[in-house]
Amino acid sequence: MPFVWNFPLFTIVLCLFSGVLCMMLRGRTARNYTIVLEAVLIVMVSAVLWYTYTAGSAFTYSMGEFPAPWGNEIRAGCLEALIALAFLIVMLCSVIGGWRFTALDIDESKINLYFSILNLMTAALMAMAWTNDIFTGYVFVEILTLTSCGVLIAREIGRTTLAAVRYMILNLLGSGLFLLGVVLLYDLTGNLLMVPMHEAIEELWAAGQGIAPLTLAMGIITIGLGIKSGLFPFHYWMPDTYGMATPTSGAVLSSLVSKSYIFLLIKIVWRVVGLDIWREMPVARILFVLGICGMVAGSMSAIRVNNINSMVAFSSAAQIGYIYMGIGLGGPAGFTAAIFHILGHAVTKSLLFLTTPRLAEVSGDSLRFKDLQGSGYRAPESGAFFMLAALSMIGIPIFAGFSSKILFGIAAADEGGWRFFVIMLALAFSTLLNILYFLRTVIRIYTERGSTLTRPVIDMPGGVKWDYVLPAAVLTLANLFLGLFSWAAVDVIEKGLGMFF
Amino acid sequence: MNEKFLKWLDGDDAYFDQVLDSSMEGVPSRETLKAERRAITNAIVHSPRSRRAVAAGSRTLRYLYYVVAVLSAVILIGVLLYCVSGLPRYGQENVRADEVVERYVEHGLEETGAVNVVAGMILDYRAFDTLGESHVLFTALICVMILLRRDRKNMDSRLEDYYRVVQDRYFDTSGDEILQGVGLILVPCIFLFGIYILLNGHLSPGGGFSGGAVMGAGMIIFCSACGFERVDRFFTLKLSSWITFAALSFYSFAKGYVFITGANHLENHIPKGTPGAILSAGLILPLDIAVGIVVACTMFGFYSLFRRGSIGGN
Amino acid sequence: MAVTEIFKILIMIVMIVCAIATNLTKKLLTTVIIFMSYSSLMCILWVLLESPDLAITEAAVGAGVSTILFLVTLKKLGQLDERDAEEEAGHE
Repeated sequence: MPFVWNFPLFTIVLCLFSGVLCMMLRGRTARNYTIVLEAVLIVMVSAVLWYTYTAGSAFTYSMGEFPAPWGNEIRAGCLEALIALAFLIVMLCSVIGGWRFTALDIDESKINLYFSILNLMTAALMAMAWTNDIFTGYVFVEILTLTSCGVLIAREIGRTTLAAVRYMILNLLGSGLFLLGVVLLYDLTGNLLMVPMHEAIEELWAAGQGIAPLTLAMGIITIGLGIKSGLFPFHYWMPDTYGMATPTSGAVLSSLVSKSYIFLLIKIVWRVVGLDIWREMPVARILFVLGICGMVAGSMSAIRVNNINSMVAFSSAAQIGYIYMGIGLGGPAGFTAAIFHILGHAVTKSLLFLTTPRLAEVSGDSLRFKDLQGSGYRAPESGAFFMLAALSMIGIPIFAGFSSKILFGIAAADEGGWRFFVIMLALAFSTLLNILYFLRTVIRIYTERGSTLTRPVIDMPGGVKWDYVLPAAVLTLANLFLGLFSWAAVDVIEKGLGMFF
Repeated sequence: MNEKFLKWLDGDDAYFDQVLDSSMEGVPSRETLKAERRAITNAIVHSPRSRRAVAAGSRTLRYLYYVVAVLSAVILIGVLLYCVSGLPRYGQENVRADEVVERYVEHGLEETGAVNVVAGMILDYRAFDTLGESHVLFTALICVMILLRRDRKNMDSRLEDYYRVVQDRYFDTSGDEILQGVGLILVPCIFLFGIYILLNGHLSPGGGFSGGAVMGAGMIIFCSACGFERVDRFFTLKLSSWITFAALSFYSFAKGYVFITGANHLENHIPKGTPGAILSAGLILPLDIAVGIVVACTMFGFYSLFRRGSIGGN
Repeated sequence: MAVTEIFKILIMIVMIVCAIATNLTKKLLTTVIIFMSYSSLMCILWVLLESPDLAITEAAVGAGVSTILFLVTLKKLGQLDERDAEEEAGHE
């Protein structure tokens, strides 16, 4: 058995151990340790990705000496490794890029606790990428919920605590629904590991028994995960949550946490239910409709707010609508587009959340649009990166956003029928809305005239800040890579989906 | 002692006022702080923006909210009841679940060495989930520490009733005769019971989480009965951190070792012992102890953080 | 029906009543006490469903530590009893 096979386990256990270790270290040591750990994890996960890509098949790794239906197991293929790699890169860049604000916002004595929480969150993200068991998925969903709240309340101002309370209540509702669905599925199928559950479900579906409980259980699971990741009617917690958090937290929460829930849902749909049964369930159609509504509603809300962080948060809701639309389509092409969009959105959204606080800082600490006018000149690097990220969100060619829109179009064309027209219409309309608010913001930050700034302007202390420019540049390069060489990424995704079940 | 008791009986707070006045140097008087706070809250409550927000919350929206809430609860109840009615009844044979459950019930004793099959299952067959669960508790402790531990940002808020916060710290229940009397009898029994549950996790119902929770509850009663100073003598922040760190790292590495050797089909030389003896069942006993200690420290840590904003007093 | 079945149904009905009552009471102290009784009933139900591990944990955590933490929080908020409410009203 090649040594590479042990790497997924190493990533999970190392992160869990680091979470406990960082509690004992001092602030700066915890941060350096986290950065080194993430670099090591990136190397390990790249090795797994290269191995599974060249070998052409996934491998399962049983946790302990007991094989599948009795013991636990994890499974690593191209797709899981790609998602884990993307998550790690975004997390590393967010930690390094947002460090200046982390040091300012969080009390010195609690910085090591903050990094402890970040490490536990990384462990949960890795476990959700590799897991092959639905109950392990639930346990790490719990860890992810608690660590997201921890990462929010670390900045101890009243508004973040309030946002964290609201976030926690909604998330617990989502977790509760998810657990109810898991329990129902367990009772129907008698297994908790995904592959044996799939066999049992196929038997049940073919025999025609238990179709209603099965559909309802899947519906409950989907709604639970949808509440947690920001599906259409449940996305109103997003602006408060992402808006006031410290930049690292905002970047990590918006790009990684919601996506890992969606990835868990994709895993459940492919491995537990299977694509054929999924397409027959009405849940898929409901997700499709809700996704399209989210695309439009999120963009419309983003136009109306006057605060840049709320606008970016609502645009998150719109982009998650895209992903759910892809999942709701039900074909492999839809899933490919959805996963590509997960990757593209992860690198873009974190870049946005890393740049907006700097724009605000040079505008008298205000996030309001009328104060941000001309801030692109006062903080040139941030303005440039914000503009590049905004162009990607709109869908300008050579950026990742354009490639994902094309992939959605291809998926729609595969479907045909009335869905094709609806998707094309929705894509066009939401692109138009995106332009309305993103381009308007970009123009605003580069317009000097009409600035109503009354508070003092802080000019950034001179010189290029490498600890900020480097991570932002890495994220932009990742975005450009996904945009220019999208065929490579799509190839990996499709290969991964081929070995996904 | 008698005086304090009579004062407590009368509900007389003069004792607290004495303590408060003597410890507050450089802090403005209680009335000044009260007036400041009232001014701030009035400014916020009567500002035009909040008046607009209050006026905007119409009655119809509130009734709509109630109706939608009750409706969604009823729909969820209906959906769940309908699902459950299609499942096998309690106690009947479930053909699908047989394959997995059979092996646990019949071969659980010989494969894990534990008489209590539930402990064998959570700590041996499906140990990965338990690894995650113990870290869930640790995560909760870290989050509560971030939120509640006293530091400069927490204590600087002008809206905090500084006097109440200090009063809470001095509000010690340790002078209470009933608590002390009952505590003297109960606390040793609770600790013994907790340790018994912990050590016999693999032989009888119980295990790490239950035993740890009982021990944590025992520590809370001890702390209420005897006061924080006595507890601070042995339960400091350093001790608590080191215990938690040692127990959880031991858990991660021991289970990591078992997973690696198991997946690579190597032999992990952990003896299973004779079933029924206390030193048996492989790693289950040490893991139970580790989990139990972590849970006890966490429960008491929560209590200490809630009461006075720090573990181990400073 | 066996006595245990009737007992189970009775406990479940009382649990539903407790759950609804936590919403409808005015004072927070009453809510916490009802919540504690809900946990105790749940503990009995676990014993009737033959899972003693869960019963011990539910009793220690739900009806024990969790209630204590709620009461400490109420004391900090000043909602614990009438004397605290007067203090809140007097100082605010």
